[in-house]
Amino acid sequence: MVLVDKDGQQIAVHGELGDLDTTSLASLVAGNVAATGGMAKLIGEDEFPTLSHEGAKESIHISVIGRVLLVVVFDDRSSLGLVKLAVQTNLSGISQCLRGNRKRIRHTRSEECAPICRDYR
Amino acid sequence: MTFINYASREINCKIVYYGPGLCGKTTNLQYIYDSTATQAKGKLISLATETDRTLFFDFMPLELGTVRGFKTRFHLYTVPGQVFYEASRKLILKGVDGVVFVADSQEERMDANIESLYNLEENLQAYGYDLMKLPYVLQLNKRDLPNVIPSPDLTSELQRKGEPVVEAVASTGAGVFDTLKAVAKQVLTELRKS
Repeated sequence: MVLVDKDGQQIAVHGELGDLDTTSLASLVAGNVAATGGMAKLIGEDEFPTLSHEGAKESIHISVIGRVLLVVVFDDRSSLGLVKLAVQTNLSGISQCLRGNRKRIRHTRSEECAPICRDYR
Repeated sequence: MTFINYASREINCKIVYYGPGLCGKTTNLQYIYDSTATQAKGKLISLATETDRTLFFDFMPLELGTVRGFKTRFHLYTVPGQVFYEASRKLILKGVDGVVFVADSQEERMDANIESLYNLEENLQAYGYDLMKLPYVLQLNKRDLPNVIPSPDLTSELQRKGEPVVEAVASTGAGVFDTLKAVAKQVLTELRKS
């Protein structure tokens, strides 16, 4: 599972990913979401909230959660339906966690960065 | 690879604008889009980040007259220039018929130009293309800025095979169409040969 921002920067990685090149994956996922977003706009949609690509063995499911993309790479031991269900069930938890992080970052910036900013003024 | 549709008598070619980040690839395309007649162009699709940096590509189809009764349509693409988007950049080169290398003339961007040019050669090789055989134009962009390297020096450093070199200021449109014409001419010459 990889958490990526919409510009293709990798935020977090979790699970058995082996030697998967997650940096390339992150930038391609962002490109893919941007391209399908372009398609969505052509047909009058704002964006497609989920994308999935099924391969013979390995598959990918991408969910758009605001500015962040949740990428799940899974193999034939699972199914697209199960992954969709798991993502859907945990979506609110992930969004809440991301909102909390944003608040914490803002807090960190204002509290902890203030002296640094002062020093460099 | 050039796509020829005999049924609709159309020839589709792919031209890719390549170069380092912030060298003006999107600006080139934007100028072409703004200055061509509505009936000759399709929609300009720009897949960019919130800060307007190209994320995946910019794309616009452009009709450039007819060749032996076939309508020629050029698909113009740009690549993301930032080093980080290597995987996406490589994808866009697939099936390319002609390349424009947009070099940033500013002194401090010289290393970025050289790195990007090496990257172009490497990525072309990965698809079995040889820059020496591909229709190719070198554009020296941002000639209006004060800290630019003289054209002959930039040319001797970046020219690979005696390709046409065009000085440009993409933001005002200077040299933009000359570049496009130079690469389109080479693509069509290649097409005639085949």
